[in-house]
Amino acid sequence: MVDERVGRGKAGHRGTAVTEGGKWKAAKKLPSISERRKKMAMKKSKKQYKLLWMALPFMLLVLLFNYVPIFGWIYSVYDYVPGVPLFECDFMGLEYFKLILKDGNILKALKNTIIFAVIGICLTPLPMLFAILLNEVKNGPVRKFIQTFTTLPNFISWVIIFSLAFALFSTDGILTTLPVKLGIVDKAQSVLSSKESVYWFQTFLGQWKSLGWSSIIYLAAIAGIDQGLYEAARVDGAGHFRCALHVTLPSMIETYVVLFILNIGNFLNTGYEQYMLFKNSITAPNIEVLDLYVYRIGLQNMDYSYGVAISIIKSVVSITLVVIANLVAKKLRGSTVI
Amino acid sequence: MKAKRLLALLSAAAVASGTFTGYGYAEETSADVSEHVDITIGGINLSSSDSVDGWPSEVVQKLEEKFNVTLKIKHYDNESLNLDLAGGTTCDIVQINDDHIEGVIKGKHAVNLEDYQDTLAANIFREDMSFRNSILKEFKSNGEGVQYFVTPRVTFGDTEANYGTTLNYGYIVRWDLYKAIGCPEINNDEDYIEALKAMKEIYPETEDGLPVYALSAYNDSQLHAYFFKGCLAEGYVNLEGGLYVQNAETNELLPDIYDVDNPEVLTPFWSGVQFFNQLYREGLLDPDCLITKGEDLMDKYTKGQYLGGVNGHFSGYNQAQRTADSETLKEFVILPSKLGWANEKNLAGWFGKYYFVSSHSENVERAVMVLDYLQSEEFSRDIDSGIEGRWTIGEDGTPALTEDTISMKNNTERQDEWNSSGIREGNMAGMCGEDYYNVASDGGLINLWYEEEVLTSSMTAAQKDMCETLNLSVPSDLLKNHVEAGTSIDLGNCMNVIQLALETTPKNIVRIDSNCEELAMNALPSLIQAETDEEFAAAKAALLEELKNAGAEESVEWWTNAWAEAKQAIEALQ
Repeated sequence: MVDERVGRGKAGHRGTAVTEGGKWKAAKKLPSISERRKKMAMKKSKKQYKLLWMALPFMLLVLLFNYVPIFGWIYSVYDYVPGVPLFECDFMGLEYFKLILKDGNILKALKNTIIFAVIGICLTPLPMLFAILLNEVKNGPVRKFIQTFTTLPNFISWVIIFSLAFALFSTDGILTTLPVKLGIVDKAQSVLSSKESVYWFQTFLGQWKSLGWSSIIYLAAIAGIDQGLYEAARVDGAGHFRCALHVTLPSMIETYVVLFILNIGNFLNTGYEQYMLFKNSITAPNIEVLDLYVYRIGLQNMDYSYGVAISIIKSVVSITLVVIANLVAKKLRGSTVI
Repeated sequence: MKAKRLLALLSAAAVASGTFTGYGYAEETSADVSEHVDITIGGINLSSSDSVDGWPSEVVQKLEEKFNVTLKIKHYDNESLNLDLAGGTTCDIVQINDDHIEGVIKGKHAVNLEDYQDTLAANIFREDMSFRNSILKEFKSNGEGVQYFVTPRVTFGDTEANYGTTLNYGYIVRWDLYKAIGCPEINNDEDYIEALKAMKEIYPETEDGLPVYALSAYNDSQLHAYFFKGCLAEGYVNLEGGLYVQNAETNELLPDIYDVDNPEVLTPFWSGVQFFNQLYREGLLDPDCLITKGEDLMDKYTKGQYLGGVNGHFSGYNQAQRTADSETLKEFVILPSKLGWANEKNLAGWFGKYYFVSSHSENVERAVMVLDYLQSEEFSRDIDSGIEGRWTIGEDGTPALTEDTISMKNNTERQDEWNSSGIREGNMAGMCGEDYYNVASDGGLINLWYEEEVLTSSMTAAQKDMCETLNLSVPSDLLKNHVEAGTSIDLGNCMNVIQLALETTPKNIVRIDSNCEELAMNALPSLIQAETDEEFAAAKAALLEELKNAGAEESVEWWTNAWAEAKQAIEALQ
């Protein structure tokens, strides 16, 4: 006969005692609490290691493309000549940084960059609002069509977009000549050759290209909202608008703030492809942003060292902005993003 | 099939003739070509061989067989070339421009060609090339006094040029319309504008209802369209970027845009800008003139929207019209301007194109052999006139193109065969050592298309009609007549070799020049769209003030001194 008693509590924390022929004897020594804790911790850390391994390729990519290039900053203190080993080039110290202070073009490029960036920041709620509107479209196929239709431009290169824009908006373009044909205006005025239209037109093109793509993350956030909240709101008499205003919108604010702070970090990173393609002698004064200026100086003029020096200053400003935005976020929300 | 058989036959004949007669090319004795290797020639603005129609052409096949290689062409732009230079991964033979010379020499990327002077590089170092070689040793060796580079298209001292069949640059007009308005004489920009105006009156829109304009600019080449138009009208040759120009007769250097020290001279940039402004005021200029790029221009030419032009963007239109109707008169032709871009004396070869053998090549010796062959008389003849068979030695002992080759050129149905022949293929035509007009050892010109008797036979229907109408033998006779009358000049007196002797521009001057160029670009709208002379003058004054503030005077001082030194050095060498 085997009499099995649990030593301590129902789970038998310490071990199980077994009697055999009336004699008590330890049948199996149970692990101690600390041993169990260790085991659990090991299991947990094994799981975490798995996650870490999964993240490793991406970390390597970040390391490769975001951290390794920082080595290139060293070019800013040498007079680099392509083809000549760096340390055989003349050492310039901080000469190129001093040159930045004398370069009047930097200020012009900075002004344009800030204007584009501020407009961009003001328009950051657009993808969120678009996602909310899209969510309100209840007809599945129509919603899918709109989503696909608005996401696709993100995959069209700026070169193609420029060609399309030229066909549509040049003086002979379909959309430019339309108001003349309709008798609205006497003379066709191409938006591509208008200095005044640069800011809004380029922003419009940028938004057209990225709106659908940027809204995907908000659509995912909407999908994660507890349906009970909507039901409760409806019980309280809320219609579509009230549901969107009091349930959907507040639920997405967290996502919006995170993305907003990350966007602040990219404040000066406007990119250059779009502006390079649409730059001409008329638009040049308003379209040359810092990235395009760096491209022109560094790659077109082959003045690599000076180009790197400007980029370093840009990076320092960007990091500072992110830190400030993070601190502000902590003040307002009580927690930081990074 | 027939074409392939013919190609094989011609190749075999060419190899055999090369082997047995050994004409023009000095055969190396120490060359080991038993192992087949790949040789790649890379260069700025070269087209990849994968994208060249008819590659490998007869000319390339002959080279490949001769040296037991497979030849490839690699396209480089500034960035990819710099990347390869930085990584030490340049291909076997590389073509660079002045911007890269310092990096190539200091970084030890180039093989010293003099090491092969007596073995594999006999063509490079032959007597005819000695002036070119001494220039390269003196001015393109970073002070080392050795020869790393070769230049293409060297004109020998005794070369006598003709003007070819047609002109390359000048006043461009659409022949059918120009004929329709009675072929008014064009001696200057005013005459040209009047002719364009008259042409637009009879052809205000295309058959498809699209508006027609006089011309437009290609703004992706910075200021080129503007100063180049002016160079042709005023008799100057531009230096890179167009901020400075060389008088084609006196060889003086002039600041082109910042002209405050020469108020009495109309420099090319201002001449060009005034011309565009005049077109604007007459309502003839494409309203998109300030935003059109080269591709847009070609597209609009194809649609028939232009009546004239500045550069050769109309070639696609001409080709398309001839394909549709071989007897068409709808074709752009070129009338002479003040400067006829002909009779060029490139005594040290083309400047801005320097070829070197990479020290990173796995087959340096074979690369030297190929580069040396590219410099040879044999290859120069091949690329300009086709391999032997496409031309033959006549009974009088002189070479001449065959009737079949001549008829092939303008027969659009034989376009593939033309491409396969390799004659004048863009990449290789810019690599060969000798000028078109040099006289080969067989007594014929390197480019047999320039022989007097061939000039008339390779004309298109529109060109023939032009000759009949204007009573000419060939269209280029117009320039000949103008030069004789003293109203035009050619490049016979232009010492472009001075540009080869210029020292490397220091970075601070490059920065100033780049900034000045940008300022001039940005000033174009106010200049070209000026409604009155006063507006134009005000816009010019504003630009000159901006240029002064950007350091134009420092740049002018440097360039003036550098030019004087280079000119003096060349004169001493000559």
